[in-house]
Amino acid sequence: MKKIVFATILILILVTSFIKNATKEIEDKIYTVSENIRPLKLELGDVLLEYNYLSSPEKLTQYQFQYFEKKLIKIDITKIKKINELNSKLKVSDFIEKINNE
Amino acid sequence: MNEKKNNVTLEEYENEFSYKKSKTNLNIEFNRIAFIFFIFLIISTIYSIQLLHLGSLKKISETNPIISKKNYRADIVDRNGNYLVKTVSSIDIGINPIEVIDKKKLLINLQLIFPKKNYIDISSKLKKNKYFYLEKKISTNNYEKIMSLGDKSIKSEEKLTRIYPQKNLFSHIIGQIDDNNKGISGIEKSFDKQLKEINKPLKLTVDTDIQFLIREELIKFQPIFKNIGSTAILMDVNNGEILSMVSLPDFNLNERKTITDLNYINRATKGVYELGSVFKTFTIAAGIDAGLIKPETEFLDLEKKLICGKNTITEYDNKILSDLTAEEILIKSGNVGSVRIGQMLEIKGLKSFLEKIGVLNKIDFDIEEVGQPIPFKWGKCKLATASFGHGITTTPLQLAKAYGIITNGGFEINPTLIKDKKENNKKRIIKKNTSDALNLILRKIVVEGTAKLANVNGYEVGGKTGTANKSVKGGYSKKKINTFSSIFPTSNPKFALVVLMEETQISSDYIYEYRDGSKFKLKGSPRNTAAWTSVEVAGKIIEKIGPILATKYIEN
Repeated sequence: MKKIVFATILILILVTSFIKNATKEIEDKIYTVSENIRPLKLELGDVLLEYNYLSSPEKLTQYQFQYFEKKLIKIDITKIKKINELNSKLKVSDFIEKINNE
Repeated sequence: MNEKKNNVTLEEYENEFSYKKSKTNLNIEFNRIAFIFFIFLIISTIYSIQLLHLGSLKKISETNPIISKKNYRADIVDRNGNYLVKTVSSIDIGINPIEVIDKKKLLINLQLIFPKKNYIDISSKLKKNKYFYLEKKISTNNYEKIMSLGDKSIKSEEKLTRIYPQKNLFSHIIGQIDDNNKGISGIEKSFDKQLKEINKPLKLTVDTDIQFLIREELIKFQPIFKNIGSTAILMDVNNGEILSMVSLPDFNLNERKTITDLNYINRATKGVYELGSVFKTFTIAAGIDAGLIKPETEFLDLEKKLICGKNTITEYDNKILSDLTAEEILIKSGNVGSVRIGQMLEIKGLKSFLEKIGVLNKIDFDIEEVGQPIPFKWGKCKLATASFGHGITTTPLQLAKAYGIITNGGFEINPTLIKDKKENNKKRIIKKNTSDALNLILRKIVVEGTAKLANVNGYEVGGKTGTANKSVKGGYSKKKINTFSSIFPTSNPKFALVVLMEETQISSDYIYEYRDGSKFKLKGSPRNTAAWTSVEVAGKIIEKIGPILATKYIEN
């Protein structure tokens, strides 16, 4: 009986050790990838910051005056139409439904 | 020569040794070797496992969302993920004069790198033998140059810098931090601990585009109505999320100025005002909710003047009829009619309703800069004046909350700036029919009442105006607080917009365009009231932000 317990413990330890060692390679790969991602994340943050600044409403308004002063026009929302596809047929309706009794 | 003498004593050592033959059949020598190998194997295996285990633990701690770094602060983004605040690390260059070997040589070298600096000042600092900063947030180019001097007295310090790409846009909401990475106002202060711990950006409920458009309109009207300040809050009435909160004047967070001028307070949350007739909505709502009145309940022979103690209550407009329904009292903004409804409610009824919708007590909000409505002693006359919004104060934020509750079907909401905040289930605190009735009346105020200038086509705007004289110590001044509290679309309210303008003046040049389809234009403001100031601004705001809200936030 003692020998069986002894042998079982030994086998379990060996198997655990073997599995753990087998995962080491994967862990190394994960570590390398995460280390490679870290600078990319920083770079992405900086690029996003730049993008947010350049596409901020303030900048966009500035560009509008600079390049599209008369080309961009405001459309009345009540004149915007909505296209819905129903049974292979297109149905055009108002984007904002008209209010009853008004 | 002295000879050393060593005394050696020999003692007989007695060892009791007796050999006994082992009774087992095991080979002792073989077991010893096997046992040693076995122990060695176990130790090496455990060590091997432990080593790998520790390694993986280390990696877990690196990826754990809860981190605590001294020089770290999480970014803040708007609801669409746009940066409102970004942390970048910068380098400050300091000089320790004690370690300077050749002061003249150092000054010459520094002059080559920073030719525009005041070297008389730097020279005097070097003489004082106290550590000082030569250049803060140094450029990469200059950093390389200065470090290549190889002078031991030159010290570089990595510092945390907060960049605010939207400049003034969210100054009152975000607030500032001090040099020690400690929040001193706004979200930076109230979420100081979280910002140092979380490793993902803090997401706010605000929308940068909407905030910009609202601020633009408020700025545009500032010289027209010559107001000293203004505020606007746009809130989702169904969940309390604040899409925009602007308070003017504001400041550029990147400049890190110390602001002492009280005019720069956050009017939206900290400003406590007597808001006038916008409170009449609460009186009518309380009356309907208590079952005392209906919108069509008639009030006949209403007096033109009421006297209560030192207070004389009159109508703002003498043309107001003496016979009005409850609905008409709100549409025409009748003071005397509101007093009558207030008297029907009695102190207990009106007070408990105002407490329920959160206008009487200090609000629990995401930033600490919150004003406390001025407490007062309820009495017969106080009940009368409070019924039409006189002698009772609150903040614009609480006003938006109250209008949200009244119009969203009667559900309790708590204004918030933090996205994805876990809220408890919706709790109805006002009857649905009260809410439905008020939505219809508020719509009528915009269609046929005092707020026609906000009747933007397509958005079903409803709301109530409030013109109040600014209170000063011991009375009231002639300066005005003009407020318009609106909701839209009234058929299924989604947004509450509060616009408050402080100390407005009439404009003789501004051209009003009527929104009744007549295309009539009027030059100059006839009166210094909310109807001709804050309503006009709210109308322009809704016209601008409406398409974004309709396409982005209203689910069809």
